[in-house]
Formats: sequence, structure tokens, C-alpha cells
Amino acid sequence: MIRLALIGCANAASYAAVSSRLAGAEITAVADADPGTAGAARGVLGVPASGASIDDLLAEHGGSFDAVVLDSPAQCRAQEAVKAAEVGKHVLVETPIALSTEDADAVVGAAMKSGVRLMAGNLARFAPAGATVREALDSCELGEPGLLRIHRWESLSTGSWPALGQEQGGIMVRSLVADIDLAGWLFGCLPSEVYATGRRVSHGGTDQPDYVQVHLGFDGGGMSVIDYSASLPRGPGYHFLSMIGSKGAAYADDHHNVNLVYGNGGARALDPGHGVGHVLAQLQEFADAIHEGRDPAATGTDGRDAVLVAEAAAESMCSGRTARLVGGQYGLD
Amino acid sequence: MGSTEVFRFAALSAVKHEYVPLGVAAHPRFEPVVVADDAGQGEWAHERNAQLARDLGVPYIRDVEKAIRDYGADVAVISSQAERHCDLAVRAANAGLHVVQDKPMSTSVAECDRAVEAVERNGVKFMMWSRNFMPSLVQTREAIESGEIGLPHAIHVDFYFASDAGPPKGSRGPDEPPIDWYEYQKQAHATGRDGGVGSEPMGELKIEGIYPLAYIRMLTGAAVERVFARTASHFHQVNVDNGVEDLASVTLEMERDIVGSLTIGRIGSGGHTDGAMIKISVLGSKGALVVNESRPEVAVYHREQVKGPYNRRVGNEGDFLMVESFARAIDTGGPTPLDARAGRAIAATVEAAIESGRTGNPVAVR
Repeated sequence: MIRLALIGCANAASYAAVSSRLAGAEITAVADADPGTAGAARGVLGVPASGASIDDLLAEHGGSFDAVVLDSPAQCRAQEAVKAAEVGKHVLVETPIALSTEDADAVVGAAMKSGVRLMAGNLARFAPAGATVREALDSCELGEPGLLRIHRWESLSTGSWPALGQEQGGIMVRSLVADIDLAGWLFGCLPSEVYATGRRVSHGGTDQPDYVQVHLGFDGGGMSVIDYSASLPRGPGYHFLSMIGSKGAAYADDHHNVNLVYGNGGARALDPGHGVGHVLAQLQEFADAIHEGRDPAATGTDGRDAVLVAEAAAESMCSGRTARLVGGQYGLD
Repeated sequence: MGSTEVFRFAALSAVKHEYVPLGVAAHPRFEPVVVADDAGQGEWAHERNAQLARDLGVPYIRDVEKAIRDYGADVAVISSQAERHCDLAVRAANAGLHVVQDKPMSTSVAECDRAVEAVERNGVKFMMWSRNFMPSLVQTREAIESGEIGLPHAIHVDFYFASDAGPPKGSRGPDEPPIDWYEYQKQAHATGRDGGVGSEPMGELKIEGIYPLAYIRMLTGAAVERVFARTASHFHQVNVDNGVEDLASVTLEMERDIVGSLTIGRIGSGGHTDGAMIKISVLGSKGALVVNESRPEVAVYHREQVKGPYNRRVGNEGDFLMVESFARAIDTGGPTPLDARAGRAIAATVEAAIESGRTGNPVAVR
């Protein structure tokens, strides 16, 4: 049985919903900087060990878990991943695995040096939209992938705009890296061209991105357009993913999947949601990879590469130029 | 009460889309008087034009200038080969005729400039044929104009026709000659799969790009300033053989910091069961719109149906409303829905996108 420590508990309810369905793994410890969140997670997951940080857990309960699931704030993950790997804990780190390629390299290097399994978590790969498109590509139903389009629009309450403008990679790394990774996974390679644009508006006296769009080109003619916004009114957000292949196409569109209710407030669209199967699938893949002594389906290098592309997108957006892949690095044209 | 004046129109070539002159003729304020084309056109062209003349119950003559001069026409309706569009428009405008023109406006921006100059110098009305009056587009425009989603700051259109264009990519044998574009288009007319009739090969951006770009222009009122594009010949051998794209994605950088995108393709019949997948998505300062262009529609399934389309578009009075708007523009001297300058701007956007796809760099729209 693989014992997992969940670091960062804002999504503990999702993990609790799947913990009893995990095969060969269990969650045995939790940590969160917010005591209330940690306590609530401990309760909902029914785990004996908790702490305020990964340092606390390692110091006081280090023998109670074999691996960590890093779902903590993005700026904390790289450092936590390195710490865990250095003491021999396997690591599942949610995307982005780091906010810079340099930090991502450190994570990958630490895992390699310690010989632990490192998985770059990306729920977009396991969610019904991404997983189904990948299955359709793998089974040759769609032929050669041609054009991937993704809209990911969120509301201000769930989006992650504040204070992003100044950090390296900025909003690109945080908000688009999951879909950038998804694009690379579906096309099977890194994009050879990256172009990004967006809109900046003044928020509280600072100039911040309000909307971003990344345009990727892949060798062989493949292309992808991905955009992200956090400007929707309150609600569940809107997600659209389509893959146009040479023999067929797949469309995963929230527009198709909503139901209608007519009530006192007028007509509304209701999103039935997609359950938590993708959370279970990702955790199970991590546990299985540890059991079987193999690389997980999404490696640390995958996570690092997605950050690299996101950084190239950020540079493209700032410069208005195309970033091209040469010798494993992106340079502006 | 509005004007009831009836305008007489001459169909100047109908070798591509007979639905354009038929759409104009269906409006009670437009009366066909003649179909004409240049005498030097091939027999296949004369046959198509003559068929339209029979359908309309008017004469067909092989002399465009005579048709303009002798039949009392007020309007020219043009659906020729794409590279001839603007020349016919210039000849009509110089004779004082208003012009309704099929897409694309031209295969070259220089030709568009000629048409703009002639239309404006002669003070005639010019309208590009569009889909801007389809029910979903009218609803989208009204929703934006009402302020419900605030000011648009991002707009996207997916514009896919799920139809085949001859044999699939990779199907040509090593000893077989490349497919001739013009010959293919002429033969494909019988099945309605002639995407871009003309001697100059055209990709989907040139053939269909004006429709989604006209949506974007109508819904934002903003011009495209710069583009980045990727293009590919992904589906059809005729596109591969003639070096033109059947799949493209375009980032649009527009006035007022609006960001847009267009994905477009003739994606093969396997790509959708309904013949087309066309969506418009708009983000505004107060909300968003996600629109399916095909609605309203009725789904029909039956035993003998081997393949789609299953959904049939219904309640579409777009052509009537567009032609009505054109008549009103003539009546009042006001603007047409998609005038020559707008058509020229869209042609320039397409040209920039093709250049961007070729070079891999962003290109300013000039």
C-alpha cells in the first residue's frame, strides 16, 4: 500500500471523494498553511497526521507516508518537490510544477538523483475532454492531429489574475501551462513555434493581463489556439476543446453539455459537471507507477517542458514576436 | 411606409454560386432582366449562365457591356470566377450600377482597391454577399448592442465545413499528375463541392474567410491590425497539389486592444455530422456569449440515411434580410451591410494571414 501525503488541501473534498476508490494507495497525512483548511482536510479524509507544511510533516510524521501529492500554491511546489525527493519520497506535483524552467529543472534533477518517481500532475489529461480526444487519436479514429482549439474561461472568483504580471512567465505559466501541456501531449511533441498575445488593463493602479491567447505550431503542420480568461461573471466557467484530425474531429464543448431550467429568475443553463473520475485516474496512475517501478504517464520532464513553452509564450507576448524552438530552447525570431 | 421601387438587376456571370442571383431575385424589390458574361468564357461557363437565365426566365447574352447598356439594369449581381469579381464590379460601377458581389471579393487586394475606387467615384452602392443576417448572428449582434455582455474584448470564430474536396491527401500515386485546380473546381460543381472556382488556386482563407471575418467585423466594429497564422494542407490532395491550405488558425490583433481568432477548414465529411461546425464566442467586460451559427435547426433521422447532415437549418431568413438591407441602402443613401471598403479590409486580413502562415511571423494588415 502506497501511503500519500496531501500537501495543500484546498481541494481536499475531491481527494476525499476518491480516496476509498484508490487501489493500492491511501492518503495518510495532510498539510496546509491554513490551520482551518488542514483541520478540515484531516477530518474529511480521516487521516491521522497533519501539519502546517511539508517541513512539519517530514519532521514529525515522515514515517507515515511514502509519497507526496503537491497541490499547494504554485509558487511553493518546486521547493516542496525538491525537499520531498531529497528524502526519498515519490512526488506527484500538480501543474505547473514550477514557475520557471530553472526551478522545474531542479525538481527533475532532485527526483533523478534520489531515484524517486516524479509525476507532473495535469488533470486536463485525465479529464473526460482530454482523455477522450487522446483515446480517439490513439485509436486512429481522428487520423493525424491538425488543429486543437481550447477556450478556458473562468470567473473572477476561480481565476488567478491578481499579482501575476510581475512574475517570470506571469499568467502564462499559471493559467495556460496545463493546456499547453495538453497540446504537447496530444500532438506528441513540443511546439516548434509559439506566438502569444493578450490584453492588458489597469487593475488597482497596475498594468495586468486581462486575457491571453497562445498560438502554437507543431512540426508537420499541426496547430493549436488556446485562450484563457478569468472575466466571466460568477458561475462554473466555460470550457471548449476541439481537435480537428485528418479523418475526423472531436468536440468537447460545455455548450453541448448544459441542461436548461426555467425558474423564477428566467432561463438558466445548468452544467451537470464531470465528476471526480479524473482526480482518481491521476492518483491511481501515480500509485501504479510507483508499484510497477516505471515512469508515470506524465513525467517531470513533461511538466518542465510545459513551463518552458509557457515562458516562451510570455516572451512572445511581451515582444510581439514569434518564439521558435532551436536545440531544445526557444528564441525570439 | 418604405419605398416599393423595384430594382432591375443583371446577373453578370453566375458560374460559381447561382444562389446569389437567386437570392436577390427572391426579394420582391429586385427583378432580374438579363444574365450575361464575356464572350471569351469557356462553354462550361456559358452553359451555367444559360441555365440560370432559363431558371430566372430572362435572356442570356454573351456580352457584359450590352447587358449593362441595353437592359435598363440598376444593379449588377456578380458570381464569376473569383479573380474576375472586381473587374466586373468596376465595369458595372463605371456604368452607374449598384453591385452585389459574391465571395471572395477578389484574390488580390490590388483588385479590391480598384473596386473601392470605382464604387466611391461613381457613388454607387456595393455589398459583399455574407451570412451576417443568419438568425444566430442577428441575435448575437442584438445581444452585444444591448450591452448585456459589456464591451467585447475577445472574439473567436470556428468555421469548419465538413465536406470533402476530392481525393484525400496522400492518395495520388507516384506516376499520377497533380490535380489541376481549375479543372477540379469545374468538375466538382455538379456535386456542390467546388470550393473556389477560378484559375487561381485558393485556400480556405480566401474561399470562406470573408464569412467569419465579416462576423467579427460586424460584432466588434473593429478593424484587424495584425495577424499571426498557421496554415496547412491537411485533408485534400487538390490542396496539396496546388499549394493552398485547407486548414488554418489565425490570431487577430484588433483595434481597441480586442483579441480575436479564427479557425477555419474544409475538414472532410468525417469531421462533423451536420455538414458544418460554426461557432462564435465573445468575451465582454460584463459577460460572454457562446453561439452556434446553425441554430435554429431541426434534427431528422431516418432509416435510409447513411450519413448526415442530420440537423437541418430552419427559420433562416438571412438572405432576404441582407437583400432588404441593400435595397434600403439604395433608398436612403446609407451604408450597406458589408461595403467595398469592408470587403477590401477583409481581403487584406486574409492576405496577411496567408503571408504569416508562410513566414511564421506576425504580419501587419495593410
